[in-house]
Amino acid sequence: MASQTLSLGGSRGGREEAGGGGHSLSYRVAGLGVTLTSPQEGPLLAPEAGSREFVAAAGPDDLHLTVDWADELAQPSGRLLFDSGGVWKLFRQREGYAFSFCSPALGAAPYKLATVSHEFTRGRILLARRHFDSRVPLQPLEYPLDEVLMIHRLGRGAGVELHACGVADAQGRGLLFLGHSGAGKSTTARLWKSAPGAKVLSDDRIILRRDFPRDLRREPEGLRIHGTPWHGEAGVAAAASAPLRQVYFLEHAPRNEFVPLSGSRATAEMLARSFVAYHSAAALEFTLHLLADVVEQVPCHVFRFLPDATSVRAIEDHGRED
Amino acid sequence: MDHAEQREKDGGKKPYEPPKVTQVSLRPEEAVLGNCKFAGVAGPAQASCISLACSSPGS
Repeated sequence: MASQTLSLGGSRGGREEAGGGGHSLSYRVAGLGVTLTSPQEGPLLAPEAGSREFVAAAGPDDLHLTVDWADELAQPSGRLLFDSGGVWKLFRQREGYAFSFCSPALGAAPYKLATVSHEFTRGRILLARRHFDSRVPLQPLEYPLDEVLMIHRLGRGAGVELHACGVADAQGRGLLFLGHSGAGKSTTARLWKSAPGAKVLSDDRIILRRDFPRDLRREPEGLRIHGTPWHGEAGVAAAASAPLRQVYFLEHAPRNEFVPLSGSRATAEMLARSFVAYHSAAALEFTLHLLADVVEQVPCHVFRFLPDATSVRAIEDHGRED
Repeated sequence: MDHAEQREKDGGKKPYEPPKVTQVSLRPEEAVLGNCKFAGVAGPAQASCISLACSSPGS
């Protein structure tokens, strides 16, 4: 089997020969491992350009997906659970879930269909052959399937994906800058890229998880923010993480200013900047509890900021005051 | 010092604040991951975009 791995924070990916005559691609994001495999005559697999840092050596998988061609695809049977209004819809099936992907540019039938088990631990992706060039390696999880699967997996007790820029400052403290599109996440990432000793984890998507100690019998020790491959306009995607120490909600302003938030307001504002499986009551309940824990453990402020280097200094000073 | 003593020291009861509803802005078009994240590179007609399906800018 020709093996290629894509890891968030792991070893460099590369091809290697193995038995089986197929193809594989593995990556790891926020500690969650995903492996794709396809048969010898199936799709050639390759990571997307922005994801190469996340390619990992094949290891324990949290999600294993097989990939193959289909001559034609039809909308799945089962109850429609969610319509994104964009390219994907989610159906409930007896054996799990089915995500169908359609585009007006490609006709009414799905160009891609992903079925996954109830636990989101295994599944299958079928690609409508006529829409792809079989000689060209592809990433079957291309956006938004990769993120859609991730938010569903996270919502089952693993964490939450946030619309945020994340930074590990020179002291290794995790700083979370949340914002809708246009709030200043990419600007913030660019400013922190030139801050000595700091590392930007992502300019657009951060995964937040409880920080489990190596000894799994012990309780979680805090909260950790992780970089993801799903970058924004600044193109920053690092396979790295940091313990969460401060939460800021970004707002453009003529001067730098910190405004404290009540716990309930901070929880609500954070939920509004989260990617959650809205059709799932269990996922929403888990996410709300997690975000409430964040607000309880970590100071939360609105950061009204001036988009220049003074904002970095203001954050550094604010951290010292706290 | 317990809560009652603290209240007495502070000059009596904390004034009643009626509950109020605060509206928090959601961006559903961003939250559901429905579209391409990048304006200008969306859609199968774009040579620089490997996506088959994106048709409008998202988050």
